Amino acid sequence: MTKCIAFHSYKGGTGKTTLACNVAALLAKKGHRVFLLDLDVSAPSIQAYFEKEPKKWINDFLNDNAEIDDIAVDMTSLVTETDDGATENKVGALWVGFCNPKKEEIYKLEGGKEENSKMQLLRKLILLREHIISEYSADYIIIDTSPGIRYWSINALAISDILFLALKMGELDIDGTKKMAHDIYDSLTKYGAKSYLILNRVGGFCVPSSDHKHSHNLIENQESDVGEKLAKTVGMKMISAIPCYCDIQFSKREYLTVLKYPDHPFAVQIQHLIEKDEIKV
Amino acid sequence: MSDSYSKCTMCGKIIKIKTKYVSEKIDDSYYVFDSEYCAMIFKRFRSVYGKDFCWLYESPKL
Repeated sequence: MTKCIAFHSYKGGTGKTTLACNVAALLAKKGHRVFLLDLDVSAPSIQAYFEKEPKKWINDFLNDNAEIDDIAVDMTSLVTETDDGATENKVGALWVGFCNPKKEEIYKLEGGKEENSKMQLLRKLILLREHIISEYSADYIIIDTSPGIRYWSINALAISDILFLALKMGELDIDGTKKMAHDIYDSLTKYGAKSYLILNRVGGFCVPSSDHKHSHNLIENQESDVGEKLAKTVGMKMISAIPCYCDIQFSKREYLTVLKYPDHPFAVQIQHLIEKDEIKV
Repeated sequence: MSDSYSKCTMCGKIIKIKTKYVSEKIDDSYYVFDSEYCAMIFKRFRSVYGKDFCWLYESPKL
């Protein structure tokens, strides 16, 4: 049974794209069949992690100008090759559907939607999910959504089984998340979706002393307390608390930490996340 | 569903005669769906958007 997981947030800059890409890559590396979709249509950024120029985009599929095979970019080689060039034993698969960052393409999906085209676009999205399940036998569909309450983020959340709501430890973010949990998530979880908080980029572990080696233990010790308070405030269970790692946050280029530095504490955090019962297929 | 063809209210696919379908009464109106999944996400959208979003309720009949 395919699990469709959406990564969402109230504000931008919570690290949801980094989380979505790394979760997708690690699940595939562990032998699962994964399809990653960039549905942050107003500010697509998944391309930066994969450095790939697709022939066709998700936009083309949604606008009836491409088939699913045209937009599915096979990135499996990234996750199956080991450092010494050999291949992993358990073979997974990773496909990525990229979203076109050109402004005219963004306008087509975001702006000036007429009532009937809204429904058509939504139906194409439902069809996309269906094709990914039937033609690619995906174990997981991972969706990176637009932040906040928008047409495309609601669409992405509504077609998903599991909703990960990423937030940072700021009052504005927590207040907004709380409101969004009430306004949107309650409506979705009422009809079968499961939602969880991911506290991301938790400060206090990198400056001035970068003790990454123990950051996992530190955050684990704090997790129950912070999680309890946050869960109570927002009204949603916290599934993970991930420290801020400056080397990732302030890197000039995006990269997949779980593949490039598999022993990095962030990769360990992602490993813990994908091992949770809540997301197992 | 009557003897005519219908479309799934959510995904828009044609539901052929004598094929399995799902019918739901929501706020005194009947809607047909080609699967439980479509019925479920329709209810999610309806719950999020509310009754005012008429584009979600375009007539499903052919």
